[in-house]
Amino acid sequence: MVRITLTVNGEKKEVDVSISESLLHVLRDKLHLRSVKANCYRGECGICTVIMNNRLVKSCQVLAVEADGAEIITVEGLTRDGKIAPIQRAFIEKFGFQCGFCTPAFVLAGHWIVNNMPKASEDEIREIISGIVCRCTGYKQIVDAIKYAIMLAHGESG
Amino acid sequence: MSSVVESKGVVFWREYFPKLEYFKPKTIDEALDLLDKYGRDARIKAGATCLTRALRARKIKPIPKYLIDITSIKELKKIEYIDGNELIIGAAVTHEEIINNELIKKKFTALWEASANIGDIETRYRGTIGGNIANSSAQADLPPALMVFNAYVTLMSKEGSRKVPLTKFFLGHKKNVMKPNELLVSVHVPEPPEGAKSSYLKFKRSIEDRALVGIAALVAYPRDPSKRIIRLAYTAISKTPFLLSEAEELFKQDKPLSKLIEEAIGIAQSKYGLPVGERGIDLRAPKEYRLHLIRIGTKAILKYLIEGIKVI
Amino acid sequence: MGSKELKYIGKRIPRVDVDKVLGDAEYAYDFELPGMLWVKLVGAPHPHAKIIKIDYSDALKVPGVVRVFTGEDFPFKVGIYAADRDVLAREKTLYYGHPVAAVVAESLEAAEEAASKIVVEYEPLPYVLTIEDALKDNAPLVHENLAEYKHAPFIYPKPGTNIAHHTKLRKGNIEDGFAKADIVVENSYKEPMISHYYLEPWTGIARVKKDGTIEVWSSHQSPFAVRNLLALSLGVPITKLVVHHLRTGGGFGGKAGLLLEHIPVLISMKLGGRPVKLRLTARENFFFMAQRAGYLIKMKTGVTANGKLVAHYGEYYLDAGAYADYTVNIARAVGLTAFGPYEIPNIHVDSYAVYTNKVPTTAFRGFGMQELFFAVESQMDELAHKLGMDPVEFRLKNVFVPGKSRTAINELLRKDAGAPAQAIKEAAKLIEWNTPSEKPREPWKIRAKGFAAFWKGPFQPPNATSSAIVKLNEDGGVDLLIGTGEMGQGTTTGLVQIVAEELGIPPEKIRVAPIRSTDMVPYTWQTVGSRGLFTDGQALVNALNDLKRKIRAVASKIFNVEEYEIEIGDGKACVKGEPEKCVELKDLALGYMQPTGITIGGPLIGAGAHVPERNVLTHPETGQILEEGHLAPFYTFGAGAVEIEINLLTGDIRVLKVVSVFDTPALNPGLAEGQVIGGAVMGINIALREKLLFDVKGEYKGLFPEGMLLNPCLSNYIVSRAADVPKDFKIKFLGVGQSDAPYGAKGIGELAMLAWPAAIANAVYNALKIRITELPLSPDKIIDEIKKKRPELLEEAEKFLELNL
Repeated sequence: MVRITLTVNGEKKEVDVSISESLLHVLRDKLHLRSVKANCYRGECGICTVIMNNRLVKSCQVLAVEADGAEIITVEGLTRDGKIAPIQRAFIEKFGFQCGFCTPAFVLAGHWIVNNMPKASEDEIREIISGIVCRCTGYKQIVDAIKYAIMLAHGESG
Repeated sequence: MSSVVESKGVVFWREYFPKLEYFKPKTIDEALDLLDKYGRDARIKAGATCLTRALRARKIKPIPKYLIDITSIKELKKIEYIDGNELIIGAAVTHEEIINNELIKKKFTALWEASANIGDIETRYRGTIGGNIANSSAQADLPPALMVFNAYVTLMSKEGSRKVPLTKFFLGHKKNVMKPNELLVSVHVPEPPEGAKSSYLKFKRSIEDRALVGIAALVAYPRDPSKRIIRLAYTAISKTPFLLSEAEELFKQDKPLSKLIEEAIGIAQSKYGLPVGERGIDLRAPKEYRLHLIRIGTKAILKYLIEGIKVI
Repeated sequence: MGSKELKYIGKRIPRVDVDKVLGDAEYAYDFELPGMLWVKLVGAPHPHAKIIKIDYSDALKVPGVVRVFTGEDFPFKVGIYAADRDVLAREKTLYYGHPVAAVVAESLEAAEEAASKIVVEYEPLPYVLTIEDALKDNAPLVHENLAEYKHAPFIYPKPGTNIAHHTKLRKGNIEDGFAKADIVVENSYKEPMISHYYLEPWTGIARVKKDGTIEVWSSHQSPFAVRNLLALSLGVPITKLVVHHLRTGGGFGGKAGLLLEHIPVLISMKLGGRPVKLRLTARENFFFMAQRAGYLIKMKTGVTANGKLVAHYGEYYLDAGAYADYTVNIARAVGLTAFGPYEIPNIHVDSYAVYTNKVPTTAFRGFGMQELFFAVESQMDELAHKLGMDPVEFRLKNVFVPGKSRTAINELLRKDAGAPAQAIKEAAKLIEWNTPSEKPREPWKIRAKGFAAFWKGPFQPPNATSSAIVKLNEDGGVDLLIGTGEMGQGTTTGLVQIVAEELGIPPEKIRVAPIRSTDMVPYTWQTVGSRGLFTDGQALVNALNDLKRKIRAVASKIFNVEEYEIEIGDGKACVKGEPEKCVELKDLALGYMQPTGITIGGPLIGAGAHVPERNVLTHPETGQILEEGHLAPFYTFGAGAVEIEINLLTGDIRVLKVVSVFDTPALNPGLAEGQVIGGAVMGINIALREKLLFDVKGEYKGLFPEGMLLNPCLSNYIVSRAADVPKDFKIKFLGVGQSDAPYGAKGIGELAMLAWPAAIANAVYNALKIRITELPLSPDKIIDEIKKKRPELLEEAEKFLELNL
């Protein structure tokens, strides 16, 4: 076991981790952030995506030990003082989810786009979220939600 | 059909990695010390986009005992351009860092395009140029794009360092010339010939697919046989990515260019061979289709580089 | 319901399962209990082999390992329509990956480690991987003891062969039919096995309490089906079985019925009731869960010179894999459907489910209809071309007329069955059928349009019933209790809208529990066949009527009027025409206290049920209905059209435009569009990319283990991404409702999928004049076909690659 320090959703956490664990396990099993889901554990489906050091990463591909010192954001961190983030409101209003299993990953990807690429075109949005698989929606309502969230967060001009 | 066989039961996938010892050296020397000490039992970790999968699959035999994470070694994170001479890229430079580099986009376009074509945004943020090369996949995108610049890599060990041209680096799918105590520290891309343009063309089934066929090309003075330089390199059609070494000489001939292109295609197609991929075969497309893509793709990339017209 | 303006129905009411966006939706994947053990399954490395010995002594030495179970620990069979499945392989393994052992440990990590140490001695047996081989006279048998298996009365296995089920359909006189035909088209269509690839891999947790109560939390579509089938399989009383439905991360038919629940249940029983969890990864899911059958559809269809369909002959074969699960009933469904939404007087169809030594198969969104309609709607275009008739016009000439037409099983369609012709016309209009595609700017590409119609109802037994309960709360809100599963399709939100509309209360005041336990919610048969909104919706309407009756009874006493004089709306019960005489529902909810203290009424609860109206069985020898009635409680009709662009150089097909039309009204356009777009993208991907690969020709002997599924991962089994899919959708709901449907609405979840392989294949024909009868329409296949049949197209295209110098 190795002790690592993570800043998760703005809070500093110390966790004892094993080399056999990925960041995914630490977030889910040790920090109880159950919004983080997984499907393939191969870096292919992308639904374990979290924001790490302001980048999208697939948490199954990050060794727990190497995440020492990282800043992580999960969906649990988007709701502040009972207020949901624009991206969450947008997903609800635009029907951007169905079964919901991939939704946390798409919400985080959308959140990242809202904060980092507010001028992204539809094609750019589609490119950025292409690391994550959704089998229900056909993606259109997800893309609509992200576009709408950009508007909510930055106004019409985007 | 009645002989008894003993088999391991199949465990299709595992969530957990093997229990390895983890090191995160801060300098190349520290890394080389570790490699020297642990040799075959050690494994280098960079972006880990492939390594995590291989570790979960227990595919690397024998299963490594030590993991050396090189992503904190500052010397390996540098991109350096020696004007008019060469571009030096540290092994731990990520695809994203390459994509964000305007000089690479302008001058080493094939490398830029190949990097931009890798996987998805998550993979490009984590994955490194050194990893893409050292992993030595028969379907890797960067090697052909580097080969058209005659790129080479620097390998270091406690005993010293050596330079290996990429064309001599690969020995097979996931096999290369590196010794157990060696570290790939940098990739050197010589200054392209004057007036050269380059590109990378990747055929895939979905936006984040691996290459069905990947073609890199570099072209300078196409209309002047005495000065003409045309280089072609391919991935995903043989056991390793390769530079079509015959092409450069071929294109020096004073024959109609379209004839020469047909000849080059013939040579490239003749190199199609098994094994491709980890099981010795790549099932993602049949041979006939890949030969077709070699033909179409070679013509298309050269048309683009020579006339600026994108067909496909 | 009636003429007044609707407030919630037909509106874009947000989904009620917002916990999915907030991050705390709970799936079986997440569910844990204190002291829980983990299971890891070990698969067989041979497609067909006798098990000689399983050595797990080394596995037991791994710290944390509790027990290892093998097939002999569970000596009985389970199954849905036919009990053909071992809990773990016994005596022999039936496919590569067949689970032979289950390791149980205190942690998943220990279970994984121990599982890798199990060694098995096998004696390999001859195996079959294709329908053709499985049907040969001396084919190795996948199930030698087929005669002994228990099965449903409408399933007809053929012992001594690999035929798991045979459905016959005989209508009219097939010889006479073909004698009348002027043109006959005969084709053979092939479709590979494919995977659902839902995102939540299957997971189940079980615990046995000291009093014998078995509790199960699992990723499934239909909690009551799991309960029923578990009780039957394990011989335990329903009273002692509780199945909890959590959020389900996608199903698409792959989580219908009983899945692997019996494994954690049986292990928990053997381990003193400790909670046990089995959670698959995606790769394991390919081998341990059932996939979709492969298809070989042979058909011959005859038409008169003036374009009337007169005869249809079919042999349909479904490649069921090692266990046939729902596939036997799908073979029945495609057999009884026989053809598309067109009337044909003479039909002769035989439909078979065939065992092979491959991964087991089950239901997939559409229950065989997408697969059947790929053949039927390709056939329709071929016939139209041979007749020299426009394909849309040809369809209109033969399409069912509700109230007049009789289907293949001789069912007279009810008058309000829907609007098949109108849907076809609307889809043709929206795709601008009569306007040729524009020439693409890039001349090495070619564009064309393609068309397909479809119909489907739920293939359910005539006694597939539903029920619902509504409880009025003291704040005027409602608890809605339903047994239908929510796997993303959105039925729950639709049902909440019905409550909101009927009682005039906002959706925020209606609660549907995210976890539905079979001992807490009323029964519904299954969440399959696009039936949820229709059947559960009707049960709910009846429950609301029951509740309203009770509200009226109390309110009429308060105001001293007759019950019929009370009207309910806006959360109030009022005397008609006397707006000052109102009582709020919240004041009635738990019992109304009059000024003197005397309390009337009581906690108000409404209950309702739905029984399919006149649903009947079919004759085993002819497939004809036993008496006048219906096979399904409703059918949805529709049509789809695409415009595609083919790159003649690469063979890539891009779908530029998607038109999808349904006759039914939509209760919630936001939800309905989600189903339609999601279904289209899935259907298009199936048409273009999806195929489970097996080495059927023995080409890769020595490279891969024999009989193995070769592409069990997303890097080799391509599921489309956001940048791969069409962006241009035109969707229309015609609003033609069925009179007994809730607000007229019929199901669409599966229907959204049905048109696309055929529509795209038809568009390929229209572009290239090449008929492709095998899926997927992958680039290599397109190039191969062009080279064989239209080489001049490729030559023309290649000219654009030539240098201009």
